This record gives sequence, C-alpha cells and structure tokens, in this order.
Amino acid sequence: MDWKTRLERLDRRIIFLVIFFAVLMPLFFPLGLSITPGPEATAFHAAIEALQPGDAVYLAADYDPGSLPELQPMLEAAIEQLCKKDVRIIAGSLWPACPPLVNRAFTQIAEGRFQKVYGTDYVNLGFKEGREVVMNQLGQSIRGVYPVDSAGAPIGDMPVMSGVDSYADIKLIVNVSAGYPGTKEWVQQVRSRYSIPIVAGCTAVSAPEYFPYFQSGQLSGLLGGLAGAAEYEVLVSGSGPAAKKMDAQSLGHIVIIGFILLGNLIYFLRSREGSVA
Amino acid sequence: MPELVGNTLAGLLTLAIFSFLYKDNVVYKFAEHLFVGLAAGYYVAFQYRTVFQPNLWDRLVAGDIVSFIPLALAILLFTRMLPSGQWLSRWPMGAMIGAYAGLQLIGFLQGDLIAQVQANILSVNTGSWVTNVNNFLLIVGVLTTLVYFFFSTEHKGAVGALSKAGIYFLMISFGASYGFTVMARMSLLIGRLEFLFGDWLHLL
Amino acid sequence: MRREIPLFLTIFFGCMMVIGFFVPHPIVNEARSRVEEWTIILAAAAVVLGVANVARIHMHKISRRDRDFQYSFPLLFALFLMILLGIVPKDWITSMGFPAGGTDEGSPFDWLYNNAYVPMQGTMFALLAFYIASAAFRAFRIRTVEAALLAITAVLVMIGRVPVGGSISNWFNGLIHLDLWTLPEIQQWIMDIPNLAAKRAILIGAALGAIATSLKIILGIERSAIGGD
Repeated sequence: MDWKTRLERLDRRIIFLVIFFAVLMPLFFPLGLSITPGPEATAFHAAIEALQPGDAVYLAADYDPGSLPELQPMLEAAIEQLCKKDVRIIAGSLWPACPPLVNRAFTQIAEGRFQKVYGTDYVNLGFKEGREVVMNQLGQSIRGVYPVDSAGAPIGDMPVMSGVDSYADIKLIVNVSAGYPGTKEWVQQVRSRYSIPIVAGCTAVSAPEYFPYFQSGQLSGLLGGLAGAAEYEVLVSGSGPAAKKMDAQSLGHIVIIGFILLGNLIYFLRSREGSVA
Repeated sequence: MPELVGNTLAGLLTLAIFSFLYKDNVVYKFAEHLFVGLAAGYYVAFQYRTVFQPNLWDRLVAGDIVSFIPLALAILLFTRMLPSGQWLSRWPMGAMIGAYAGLQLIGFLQGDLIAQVQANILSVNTGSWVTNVNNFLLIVGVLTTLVYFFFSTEHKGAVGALSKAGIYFLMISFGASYGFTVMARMSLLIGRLEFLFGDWLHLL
Repeated sequence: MRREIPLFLTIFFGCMMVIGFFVPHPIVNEARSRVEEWTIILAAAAVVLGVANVARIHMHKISRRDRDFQYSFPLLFALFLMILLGIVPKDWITSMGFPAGGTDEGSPFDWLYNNAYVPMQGTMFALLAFYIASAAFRAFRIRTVEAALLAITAVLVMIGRVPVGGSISNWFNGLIHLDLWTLPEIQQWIMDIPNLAAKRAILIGAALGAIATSLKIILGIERSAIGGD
C-alpha cells in the first residue's frame, strides 16, 4: 500500500487526535499573537462609547450553553464597557437557557468588579417565551411583558426601571445572539419599526449573514464569533477570555487548511494517475 | 464541596459525550438521553416560572377576566393529545400562525426587503475609484445572484451568463460561511478543552 | 366550526399585527397588545405540549419494550426531576437546607443546569469540530471552478480572520520590503463585497418568499397548517 492509499484510508480517529492536540497545545503554551480590531468590532465599541451616564440600555441575550465559549466573552465585555460608561442595564432573554448565563456575567463583572447594585444599576428580567411577539410587546410596555424579574421580584419599584417602560426610553439595544430568535429578528422587528440603534454580537456561523445589516446601517456594530469577541475585548480592556483563546483558534484553522490541502493533493495526484473517474 | 462534586459531574458528562468520537456506546447514549430529559424539563419549568405564573396566573388571581381567553385557548391546544376532539387544537394553532405570519410579513418587508434594496442603491461616481469599483461589484453581485434564483426564465444566453456570475458570487459567500463555521466549531472545542483542563483538572 | 373558527382566528390575529403596525392609534395599540400577550401564553403552552409529547413517546417506548427502551428511564427521570425542582414552591426547597429554590441562582435546579445541562450541550456542539476536520480532509475536493472559488475563499477567510493571518502577512511584507494587502485586509474585502452581495441577494429573495407565504396565510389562501387544503 503506497502512502496515498494509506492517507486516503486514514482512520478518522487519527484526524480527531490531530485536531485535539492542535487546539490543546496553545492553551498550555500560548503563542502571544497580536489581535487587531476590525471595523465591525470598532463600530460596536464606538456605539457604546457614545452613551451618556444614566442612559438605559436593553441587553438582549439570546443564546444557550451550546454557544457559551463564543458568546459569553462578548456578553462579559459588553457588560464591562456598559459599567464603565455608568449606564443602566436592563437584560432580557428569548432563549430559556440564557438567564443563568446572564446572572453569571452580572455577578462576575457588574457586581464583582464594578460594585454595581442589582435593581439600581442593572436588572435581569429573565426569559420570556414568544419570540418576535415579545420583541414587539417590549415596544409597548416592558412592565407588561415582564411584571417580575428572573427571580420573581416585581420590577415596577426598581430604580433601574425608573422612567423606562418601552423602546422610547432605551438608547441602545445590545444583542448577543446564537440564532433564532436573535439578531435577524431584532433588526426586522425592532430596528425598522422603532428606529432604535442595535449592536449585535453573534456566533461565527451566523455572522456572514449579518454583514448586509451592518453595511446598511441597520446594525451599528457587529461581533462575529470568538474572533469578534477577542477584538472587542482588546478595545474594552486590552485582553480577556476570548483573546486568550485566539492562539488555539489560529492553530485549529491552520490544521483545517492543512487537511483541505492534503486531501486535495492526494486527489490531484490520483487524478494524474488516472485512477479517479 | 458542592463545587468539586459539580465540576466532577460536569467533567464526567463531558467525557461521556466525547466518548462518541471513539464510537457510539452505552455511556454516550445514556448521557444523550439524560440531556434531552434535562433540557425538556428545564424548558417546562421555565415556562411555568416566567410565563404561566406572572403573565397568566397572577393576572387571573388579580381579577383580569380577559385572561381566561388565552387560558381557554392554551387548554384547547392540549386536545391534540386526546384520541378525539383534536380539531379543537386548530383554534389556538390558527391564532399563533396568524400572529406570527402578521409579524413576519411586516418584518421581512420593512427590515429586509425595503432596507436591503435601499442600501444597495449605490453611487459609482464617488470620487474614489476603489469605492466606485466596490460599489459596482456590490450592484452586479446582488443583481446576478438574484438572476440565478429567478427560475421563471431558462438560464441560457445572456441570462445564463448573468446567472453564472451569480453562482460565482454565491460560491464566494459559501466559502466565507464555511470559514466562519470552522471558526465557530473550533471555538466550541476550545471552550470544552479549557473547562476539562482548566476548571476541572486545574492544569491550565 | 372545524374550519371556519381556526381560519377566522388566523385572519384576525394576523390582521391585528399588520393593522397595529400601520395604525398607531391607542385603541388599536391596546387591542394589538392584548393579542400579543395571548400569543406569548399560547407559545409557552405549545412548548409544554411538545415536551408532553416527548414524555408520552418515551412512556410508550418503555411500555412496549422497544429497542433501547432502557435509555428512556434516565430521560424521563431527568425530565420530571427538573420540572419538579423548578415548579414546587421555593420555600419547600429552601426548607430542605438549599440556599435557593425554584429556578433561582443557587437552587438545585440551577446546580443541575450548571453541572449537567451546560457541559453536555457545550460538548455536543464541540463534537462538530472533529467532524468538520474529518470532512475537510475527506470531502473537500476541488473539482470545478466553483469549488475552487469556494475553497480559496474559505482558506483566505479562515487564515485572515484570526491573528495568525496578520502575523504571516507582516512577516511576508517585511521579507519582500513591500506593502502588499495583508490577509486580514483581503478577508475583510471578501466579507464586505462579494460575500455581502450574495448574502444580500439571498436576504432579498428569502424576504420575497416569506412575504408571499405570510400574505397567503393571513388572507386564508394557505390553510394546510390549520387543517385545510
């Protein structure tokens, strides 16, 4: 058996091992590659920078643990920048598995690092079923949709909600989204109808689809996947959990490119031998 | 102590799912079914705590009689599980389908169709040749891709050439999507490895 | 009754959403708001119905001793355990010595979410990294011009989107003492021009399709979902 046949019949578990070690090694031995923020991440950062202290922001967190490594760093960095800007954060979710992840980020960043007070500086309204219907209802009355927060406490008396009951009182929507319902629906239902600016952080899988929204101005900023999160972290604080993973990400990509090239090299050589139809 | 137990459970369940990479096995199937049960139970509990209790039950208790309408419709939905009388479930189904169709109609019309067509009306005389070329490519790219999706005319001659150009634009966009998909999948793997070797085994 | 009422409800709910958009009168807004509140409750009930169906299927599986029926036990156990922990009064849970009850942070429900739900779902998605690597080696064959375009774009985006792309370009530009386009710049151009053009065309095409379908539903032409022809 020649080397081409051996490679063609390579057990897929060997490929699995190669990718496993390629991704694992940089976690132990970081390469320290530098990250340069792109225009989408820079615009995302600038949109939040333009806010004034006391402004109210709606943080729409629409994802679940399946996208945690990509999106949690975005959420954390966004909360960090919002806390630095001293704005009020009102968080809600259309994905049932998201509210505990939002709580985790609030506890860690808003409370832990910025000593922000729950109910005064930020609130987690939690999950609400209804997708696009909820998006529209929030434009009528936030209290109507969310009489209570994620822990069951009435939101009406919370200082963070004072003077805020619909999109008219919100300066910016920060959306972190893993799919449906998410960025696309926020743009379709809320951006067009209520003319409220939206910035979005989304999974890498869905990011290419949202470039037209960014170019058209329907999105004021866009973060795509772990790379987008890392670029944003660099802008907010110089580094962060996503930025630290970018070395592993880089090596993973190089291995995949290597596999594509190797697979095609064998295919090309076989074609020349005339053994491929 | 609960954190150690929790991390150990999380670590073992992570390994149970990863065991599928070797081959399908009993441990994986157990974990897979456990996950489906947990997720389904989680959703129901959350619907109760976040919708039924605050938006329905509390309002009924407060004397909001109109809330009996969604309650009745919601109950009718469950006739779907009965041996007879399933047709009653079409009432709430009809209401839901109508509501979402109405919202989608407006959303796609205003958010996608009008806004995207408007955004593609670009100048090719901006004073910067780079912008001119890019804008020209955007206009040509959108139009030729739309021609490719237009199946009412046979793709021959000029239409065929335009549709061929559209395919090239589409292929580039699929390549970009593939590249981004690889990025997403790698990120998720990095996340799990970081948990296994960092949070659980404390090796990182 | 069987056809007319579902059809009426479809048209009524659909029209309320559309009218609410074009007529921002307080009375219309109030009516639309009510209809939306009801839809939220119905959507939640639909999720419960779906889960009830899953439970029923697995109970049948056990009662009929179908293939792999043993796995239905952990599924049903986890399902009912989560529901029970989530919906029983919070003070019942706290009276047992737990820091919180219901779905709150620190409750047993939350503990199971953090230590079972999160790792399992995360790992299931992480499995795809291995299969995408395997597919890249075995199935990604450049046989045509179209496939070549796809492959070249994929490689440029993959390398240009991560920090290593910038490092390679800087090293190469330094080597030849020229200021050529860097890989991140090429990647950015691909995303902003040809990718954007095709994605925009797909958005426009899909929007036309969705608008047509929604109109057919609201006007009562498309009735298959509510039991019509």
